Amino acid sequence: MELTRAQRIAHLAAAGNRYRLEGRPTLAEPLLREALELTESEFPGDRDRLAGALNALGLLYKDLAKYDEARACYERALSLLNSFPDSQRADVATLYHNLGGIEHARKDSAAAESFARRGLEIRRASAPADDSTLAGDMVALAAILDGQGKFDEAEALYVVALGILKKDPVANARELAVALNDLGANYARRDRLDEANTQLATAVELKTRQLGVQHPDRALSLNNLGFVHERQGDIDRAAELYAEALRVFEQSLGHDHPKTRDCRRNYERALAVSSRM
Amino acid sequence: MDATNPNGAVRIQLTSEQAKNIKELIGRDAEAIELSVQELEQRIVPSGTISDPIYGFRLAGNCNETLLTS
Repeated sequence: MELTRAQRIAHLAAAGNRYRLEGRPTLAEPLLREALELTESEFPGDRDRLAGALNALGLLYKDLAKYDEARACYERALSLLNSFPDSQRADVATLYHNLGGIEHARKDSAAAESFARRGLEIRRASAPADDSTLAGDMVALAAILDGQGKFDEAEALYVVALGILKKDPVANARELAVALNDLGANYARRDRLDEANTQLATAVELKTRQLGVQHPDRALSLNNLGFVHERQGDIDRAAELYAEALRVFEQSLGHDHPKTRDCRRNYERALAVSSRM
Repeated sequence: MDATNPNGAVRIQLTSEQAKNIKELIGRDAEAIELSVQELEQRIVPSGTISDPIYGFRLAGNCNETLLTS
């Protein structure tokens, strides 16, 4: 079967995106880079295709902790869309959302908050109040606010977002699990440990069903549940959860990824505490 | 990359960094990834999901998931 150029690009992008969503970003990178290069050469004037290729690669670079490269992709896509007044405002909102995610990952809270609020403002002007993408923007902003210690405002956003997402828990399963993870982390930071445990255990359960046991997004929630058990004094259970999360992070993201390093520190601390008991 | 070959497979030459990463991931040396059209078809995400940036549709957003550390 011979593929047209457009089909080949779409197939590469879809295959790369699938690897990324499965938590195997290393395998996705050559496919999405190739998809962008082909889009640039075959469709140089098609801003929607180019923005799509750049955004897909930006998402992947974030997963790989290549934050400079991710930001460059999003900025280039935003420049393409902003240069045309008829561009989809939803896509512009998403690019601001994604830029906020990069700065959040780099721990530049002020820049992250500014991008995230801009994205949310554009989305609110163009989407219905119960739109699930709007809920996703709220969750993303709330996580940034958590990083600044603005826990009350963050919690309020999580509650509104969860109300929207729970209206269709099947279609919104991925966003729902993210919101529960982040709300659980919000409670954990405020020592509301029983509530944190409930939210995080639900997030793990949802992610196990959606993503399987080898996915780094599930490992992230396992790490957080371990953190809550550690705070609750159950150090052995905490060490077990950290160990499982660490194994998945190492296999899926590599030994030097920031998430792997953070989880390893948690695990080693739990082991050290356990050995003194 | 590498063109589509006569049987329709897509072969992608890996950079040395990508090859190193893939060896770490799967434990084997690899110079290139080769996917048949059928394999590519199988890896397509069903359209309509929120995280599905197939070109021409709405762009996908990232998730800011919190990872707790001391």
